[in-house]
Amino acid sequence: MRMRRFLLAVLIGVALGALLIPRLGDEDDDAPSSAPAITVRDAWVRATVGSGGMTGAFMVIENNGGTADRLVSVGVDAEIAGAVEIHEMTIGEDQVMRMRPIEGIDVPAGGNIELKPGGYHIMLLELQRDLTPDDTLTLTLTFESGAQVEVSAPVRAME
Amino acid sequence: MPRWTLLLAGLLIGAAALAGCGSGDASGPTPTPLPGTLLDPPKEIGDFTLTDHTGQPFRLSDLRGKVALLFFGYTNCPDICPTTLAEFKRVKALLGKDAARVAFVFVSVDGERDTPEQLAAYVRAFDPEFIGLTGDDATIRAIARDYGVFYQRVSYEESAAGYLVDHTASTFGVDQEGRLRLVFSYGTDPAAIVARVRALF
Ligand SMILES: [Cu+2]
Repeated sequence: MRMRRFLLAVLIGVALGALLIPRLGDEDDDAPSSAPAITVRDAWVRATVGSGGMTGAFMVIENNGGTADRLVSVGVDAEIAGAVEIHEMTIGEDQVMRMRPIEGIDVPAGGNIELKPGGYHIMLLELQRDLTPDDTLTLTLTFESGAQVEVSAPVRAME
Repeated sequence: MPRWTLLLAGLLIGAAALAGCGSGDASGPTPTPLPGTLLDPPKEIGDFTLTDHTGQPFRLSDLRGKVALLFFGYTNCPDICPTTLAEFKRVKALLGKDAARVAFVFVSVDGERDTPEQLAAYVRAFDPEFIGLTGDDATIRAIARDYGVFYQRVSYEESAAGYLVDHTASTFGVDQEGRLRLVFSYGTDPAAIVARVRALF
């Protein structure tokens, strides 16, 4: 009994250590005031026409850190859209386009993930007004690590 | 060998066999060097009546004498549909004067949300001459069957969208006699579409 408790404690210790060590390692590599691990570039939102609609936001998310992270939620001003979701679109060999909401998008350590037409997008729903090419939206991306990134996304014409 | 490795091996072999069958299937319409599929002989399709983006009844046969390019989609679709309509715009530009001989048609597979007003705002955002068509589900369902178009509403409780529509992303070409002649996969080069369309004049 005592032995089992001891082993459990050792396991937990190892697990915690495994979680901590890569982070400590990162700080050894980078200066204390280093750039954030997650950065976003080339963000844009597709313009809309008509009422009550939805549209997609696209971007490249880069993870310069040593640990994988995961985009888990996105926020936007409620005066722009009533809801924001993460979606994935696929086109099968049968030429059928399928779109579905997903829980999150993994961003590999030292890699990037592109949200682009025909793949992942951030879906803005319950739009409160049309988005026109002179708009710029601010999206707040929240990651599993707790990191938050504010993204400025200009609206581009529908085509 | 543990039972699960055998099972896994079986599954892998089965999947590989299935994949082999799929890629070996060369029957069906004749492939030609240009992207897109030319139906030869043409497929006879029924006429249909839907409501256009001005709220007026619109028959496919209203387009007799013109080549028509049709795409099935919905205005809330965030990328495949607008991308295709943007390509229609490029096709139209590449056709130059001959664009007057071609109709560009967007058929909604979401008659519930795509009212004529909504469609009007949508198609006109691309080109004032593009035609948007909508109707009740039974009518659209019958048309889709004729073209070999699949579409399906999928409800998502967790989504504010309520439902999304899966749909075939191909573009269809109908000749001047109202027969189905061309099928293009999503993303076909507009220049290739132009070459195919000109061959139908
Ligand atoms: Cu979406």
